[in-house]
Amino acid sequence: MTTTPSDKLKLELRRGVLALAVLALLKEPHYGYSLRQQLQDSGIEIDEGTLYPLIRRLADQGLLDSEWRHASGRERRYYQLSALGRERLEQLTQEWSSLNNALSPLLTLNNALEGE
Amino acid sequence: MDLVERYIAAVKRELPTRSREDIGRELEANIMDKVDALEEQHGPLNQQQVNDLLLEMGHPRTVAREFYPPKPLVSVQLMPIYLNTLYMVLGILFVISSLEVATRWLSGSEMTLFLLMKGLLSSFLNAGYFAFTWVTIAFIIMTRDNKKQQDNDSCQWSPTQLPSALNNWQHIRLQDIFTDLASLLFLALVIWYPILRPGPDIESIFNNETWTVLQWFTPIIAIGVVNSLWQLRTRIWTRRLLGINIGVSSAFAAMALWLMATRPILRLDETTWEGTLSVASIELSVLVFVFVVLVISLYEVIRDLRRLTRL
Repeated sequence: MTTTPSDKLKLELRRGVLALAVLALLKEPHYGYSLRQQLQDSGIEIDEGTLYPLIRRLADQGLLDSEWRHASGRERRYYQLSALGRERLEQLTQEWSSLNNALSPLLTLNNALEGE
Repeated sequence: MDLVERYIAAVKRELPTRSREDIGRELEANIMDKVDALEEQHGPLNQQQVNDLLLEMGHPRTVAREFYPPKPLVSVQLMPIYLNTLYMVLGILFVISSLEVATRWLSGSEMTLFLLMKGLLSSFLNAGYFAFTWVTIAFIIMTRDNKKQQDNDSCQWSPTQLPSALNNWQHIRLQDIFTDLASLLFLALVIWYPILRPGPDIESIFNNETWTVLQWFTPIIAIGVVNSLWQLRTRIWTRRLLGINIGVSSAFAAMALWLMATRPILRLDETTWEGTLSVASIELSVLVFVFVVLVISLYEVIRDLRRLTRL
């Protein structure tokens, strides 16, 4: 499968946003598959091959705590925001809001120019 | 679930040993969750459906790479310094190899041009492999140890420290400096070898008159060597460096013209070359070589004069 320049731009754009979305959802404990379902339900599509390593990387950075739980003969690793993770989520949320506020008028202006 | 186990094993094989079991265990739990969810919707999965599910996960190597992205041996921050060091070291080795082979050639052990070039290549490659390996290992260690230091270093700079060189041509390439250096030292060795060589006296390859003039030409060669070493330090063409280069190139052009006018250039013993090459053809080859030196020197004089007017 070839990756077009447009796909690369999309991937770059999504990379940071996905980390933010994962951190936001992990205010509550989730295991890998349930987190993916939550993201899908929120309208965010993500491959499992991308999501699971992303969770691990966030955990390695100390942003997530994790624990194994056993239920109905199945073991699952649950993740939840750590204290550091909560702090980073707050910072990232502010950054996202600031970017979004700055970007929205630009995109609206662009759409208006195209419409003319 | 044989396919799932095979898949997990394939991912684990691509991971560092310390993380294999942990990531494998978690990945298996995640895949089994998905299998359960699909079985709830469609009933027990057959081999093809499990196959499709794993295809959707991605190739084991790709998944492993997402967990542990490959780290370059030499970091991006160190790469320019690494390449610069490598070129410098290889350049110095080229100069040393040239001198070593020239010494062997002048002592008479290798007389043909082919053997001379072969000797130079072989000597340079042997030293080059060794140098490449050690320079690379040193930078791998620096990449592992000095990551924080690199970040600090890149913050400690000032625009005023940047050289005022606005033209692209002002940047002097390392290979140009080392080629000049090797050529100049080679020439100096060819001229002075009969005097400097310990042991019984040997004759110069040049005829007496040419040899005497070439000995008087040595200060120009010395200026050229110093100029090359100074270029190595600054790596930027300045008015002063261009001026010196014009002087050296003009002297070389004048010497080449004189050599072409004063023949024979070499002292050739016909009996030594009997059955291989004629003395006339060797003299002609040297003449062509000197002509090439003349053309290159004149080209450099004109090029540097034009550059000087643009600075």
